[in-house]
Amino acid sequence: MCIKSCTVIILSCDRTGLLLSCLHALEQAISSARQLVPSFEIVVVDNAGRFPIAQPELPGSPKLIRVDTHHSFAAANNLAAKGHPAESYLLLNNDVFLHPGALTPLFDLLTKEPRTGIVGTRLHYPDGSVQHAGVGFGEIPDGGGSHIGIGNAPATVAQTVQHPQAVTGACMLIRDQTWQQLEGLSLRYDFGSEDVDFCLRAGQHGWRIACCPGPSSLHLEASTPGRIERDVPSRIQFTSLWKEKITHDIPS
Amino acid sequence: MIYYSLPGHGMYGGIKTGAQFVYHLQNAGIPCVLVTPEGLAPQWFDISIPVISEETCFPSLSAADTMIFSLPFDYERLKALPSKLIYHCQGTHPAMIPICQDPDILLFSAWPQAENEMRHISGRETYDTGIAVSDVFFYDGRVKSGKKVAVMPRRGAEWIQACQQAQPEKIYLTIDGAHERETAAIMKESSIYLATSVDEGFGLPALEAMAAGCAVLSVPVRGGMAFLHHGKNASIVPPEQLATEFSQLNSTTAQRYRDYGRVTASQYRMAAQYQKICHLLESRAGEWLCA
Repeated sequence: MCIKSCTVIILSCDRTGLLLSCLHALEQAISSARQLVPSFEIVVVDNAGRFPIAQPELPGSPKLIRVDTHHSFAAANNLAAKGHPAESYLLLNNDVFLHPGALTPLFDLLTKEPRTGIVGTRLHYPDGSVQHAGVGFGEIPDGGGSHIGIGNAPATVAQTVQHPQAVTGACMLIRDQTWQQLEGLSLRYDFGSEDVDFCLRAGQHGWRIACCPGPSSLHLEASTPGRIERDVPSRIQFTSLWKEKITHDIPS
Repeated sequence: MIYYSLPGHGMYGGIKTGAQFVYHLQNAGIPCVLVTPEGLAPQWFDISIPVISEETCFPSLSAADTMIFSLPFDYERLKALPSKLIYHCQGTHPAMIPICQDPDILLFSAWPQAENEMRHISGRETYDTGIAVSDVFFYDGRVKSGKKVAVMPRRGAEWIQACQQAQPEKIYLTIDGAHERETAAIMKESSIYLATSVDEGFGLPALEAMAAGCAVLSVPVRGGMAFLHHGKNASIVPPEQLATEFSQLNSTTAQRYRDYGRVTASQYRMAAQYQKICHLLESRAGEWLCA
């Protein structure tokens, strides 16, 4: 089933340089994917940054939503998705610089696998090591997930499409049907773990999660001010909700 | 949607077999989730599948859904739900008779013995799902100790004690209550596994021990006779003779049991069961699972 439209949602808070780089890379990736998806809309949410983003400086003519009070990651994404409905949503961090060919396999997979509701992609650090190849469970004592392959050489992780229990919200393509069924991201989290929560809930509704092996895109990771501190309560919240309800992955 | 209802998430072979079935269906592209009473996930073995609670699942069920169950005592309450039912027989019990006689229920079996009995009761077709040994159990070449013996005192502790008295110099390692990975590690470093569960209806640990390269000495079982072959890949003796058999087991015979045992277990790999389930999906049973 062909995906006709996609809303790309990017949250930004005082990191205009990152945002501009992200948008430039996104433009190229969209250009490659247009043969599969005719309609893209880019929505930038200025999440109460101290220095409001100026629309004219943004490449690709995105829609700009300015919120003057801080919104959680979930609330900001839900707001953007509600106002800009499409057949799919791409949640994209402003510090992810997509490979020009990164989006095509994601949409290709969503088209070919009707029961796949969420598709992530391979991400890497500036030194070329793996940042993300899906989220795995079982190794972390607190019950949370961890990035599969993190810090390893790219050749050490699977080179085929994988079906982990979750993928990162740093770059997450979501089928609208899945998004609507789950009513978007959970507002229980301030910043962090809402993406994994979303995937696990999708799995409970019978949706498959996939992670494409490449082309890999660059992710600087944790570029939002206060990201690390705000992650702690979210992770505690995640653990309290999920620790005993997640199966542990078969070690690869 | 396909749901697999389990009575809990504890350490029983049937829990793992049910979860593995869900895992295979998922990998075959069939939307399927595990249902446990409280929505708690079995975490004593590794498998990536979603789990939901009965409270979440049951109110949302419709006639378009299919519920698989394996505990015969769940029949009455699950029968009241609007979903179609599949009985996945893992061990035989008189309580399964009305299930087999219910024409509205599709019958799956995990063991040939269960399949034969279900066919005898129902007089209709049943579908073999097979069983699988988790990959973590398969012997990886690590050094084994001739002194180490893996045991599961949870079932048949008195027969283990008799063996301990007969062979006090051995080191007896308990697998009870251990995570699957620890159990596999114990079995891989042990030379012998004593299967002491009398009249066992399932017997997965003996097969896991074979995969791990243990010589298996077992008491007679019901569920595991498809893979336990006396004198070839195991010794099967009455429980009161187990200690004597254990004492008389020489190294040549033990090694033969190990070698044949590994060959036997290799037929029960996860990948082999996945192929079996792919064939199942192409059969009439697939209409129930792919709808």
